[in-house]
Amino acid sequence: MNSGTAGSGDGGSRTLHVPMLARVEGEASMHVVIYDGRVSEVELRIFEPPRFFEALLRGRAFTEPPDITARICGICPVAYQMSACQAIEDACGVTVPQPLQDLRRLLYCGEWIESHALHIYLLHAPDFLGYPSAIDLARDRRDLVERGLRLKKAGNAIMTVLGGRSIHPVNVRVGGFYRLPTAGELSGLRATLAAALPDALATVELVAGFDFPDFSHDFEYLALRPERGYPIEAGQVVTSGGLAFPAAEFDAHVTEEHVRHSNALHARLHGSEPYLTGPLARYALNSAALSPLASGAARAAGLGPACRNPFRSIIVRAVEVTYAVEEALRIIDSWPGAAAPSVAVAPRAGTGYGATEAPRGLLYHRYQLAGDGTITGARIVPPTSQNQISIEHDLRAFVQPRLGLPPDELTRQCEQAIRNYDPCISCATHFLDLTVEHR
Amino acid sequence: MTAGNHPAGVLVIGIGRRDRGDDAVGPAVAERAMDLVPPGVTVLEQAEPAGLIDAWAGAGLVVIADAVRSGQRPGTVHVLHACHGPLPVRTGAGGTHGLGLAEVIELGRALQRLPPQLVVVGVEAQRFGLGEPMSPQVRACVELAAKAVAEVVRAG
Repeated sequence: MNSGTAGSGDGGSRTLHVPMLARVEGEASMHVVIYDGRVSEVELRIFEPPRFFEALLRGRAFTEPPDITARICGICPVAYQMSACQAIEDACGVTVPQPLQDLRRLLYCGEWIESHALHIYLLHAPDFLGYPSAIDLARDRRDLVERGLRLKKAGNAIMTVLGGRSIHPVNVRVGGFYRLPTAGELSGLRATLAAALPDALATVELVAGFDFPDFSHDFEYLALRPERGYPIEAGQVVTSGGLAFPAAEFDAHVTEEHVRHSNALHARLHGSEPYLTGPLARYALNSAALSPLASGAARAAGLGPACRNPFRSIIVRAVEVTYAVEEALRIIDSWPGAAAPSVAVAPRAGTGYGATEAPRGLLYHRYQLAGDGTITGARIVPPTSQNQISIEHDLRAFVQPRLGLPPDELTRQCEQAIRNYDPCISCATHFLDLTVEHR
Repeated sequence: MTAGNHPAGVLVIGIGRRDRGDDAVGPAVAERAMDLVPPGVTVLEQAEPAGLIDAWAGAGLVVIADAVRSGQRPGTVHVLHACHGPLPVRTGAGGTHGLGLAEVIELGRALQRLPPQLVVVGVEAQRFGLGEPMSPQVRACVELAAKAVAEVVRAG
């Protein structure tokens, strides 16, 4: 991530290119064109797998999307599973009993803790603390990185118990789970999470002390809002502009357009307004629903009821980790048990809708089913494509007053600004780019 | 994808995504190696390298199978010992959303959490398209790479 390049063009133009995924050129990068001292173009080029998976899902059985879509992202498989289950159960007219919904929320808490801890400690904190990477941070501040890994491991523990395994969970099915956790497993999780709570609170305190650029935006925020609690696995869609609608009306409010420079579709509200989903939106639209502990941590960290500085999103993530740890403990302590790991789901012809809050924002799924349960259509709108226009607007405003910086420093600051959104654009391959020297 | 829990702490991990062309070679090699390593060796598949530091905790010997790119002929098998110094990688950048294998190994080194023996068996890959199968040249070398994994396990 530190291999950004900058070059000068002819005449008064200059381009800045930030290859965010150096291993696979062209999969994701940021391209800025500067003309006569003004930023004239900002393009975030994103390679995005959901289009491929939408095609792959057509013709498959209605029971398959949780497993297939979990492969879209190695960091947030549970989000894909939960939105898929919700949409298919909606199409089939089935409501999963509350104890199973509680377990889904618990599983999702695990993914939030794991994903946010990874992003805060291994990707974003090094930017704020002046280190080129988490490796350099670990050499000087081993205690901080170890704390991040402990938190991540606590999230992993939930994923392993509820999901069957931590990466690409296999225990989730339409209608519930294949297997329920035992009392012993839940009690083991409780101990792990209780130990993680001080780490979560210390994380809020740590990131609250970072230096933040004076920068803000006024995008419309979009997030779920459930009847009770902070939004994770359910809720209706609300916006800071006052809209409120169920997931079934998402297509009526959000339109997607193809743009030349990106493989991803750009989402807009009512065809014109860019908007933002993710931690800042969730927090602004639901901060009153946080637990007293998480709410107190947010206040102590200097957050008001809403936050419009994207660099401060790292504080919101830390507050959400605290909430997720506490919420997981609450669910474990109050879980009444379930009569069966799943309920029967019979297919029927129709369309179903699902929306949940992935760590990086709202994830929408829609499926059309034939009478025998064959999928005839699928639509997946991930958070990063919803945020893409807003990220580009942010970068344009961010780069303009910083054009005088040396190219390497400007590249570094752009990378940090992009990381504010934790974009899911590198969930691709993880091969090594080797240098082989022949002597 | 586990052959069993091994008291001696030998772990084989295949890294990669099965639906991304030659990126599938890591899991494919690990799967084949299950039949070649002694009973009791634990074999895992992992899509994301970020969890490796926890996954290999307590193991004495860890062998990681992964796709690599160095410009050599597709299917070429590299055996790289990671305990004595960084892998000879050109980038190792993890992007905005995760960490790469070389970064995770270096993070483990900085935290003094590398296993006593860590070997990467890399297979030279050429294509990573979404939904693509492994290329024939790479598929043809899965057996060779799995034997290399088994040889490292035997020698360890």
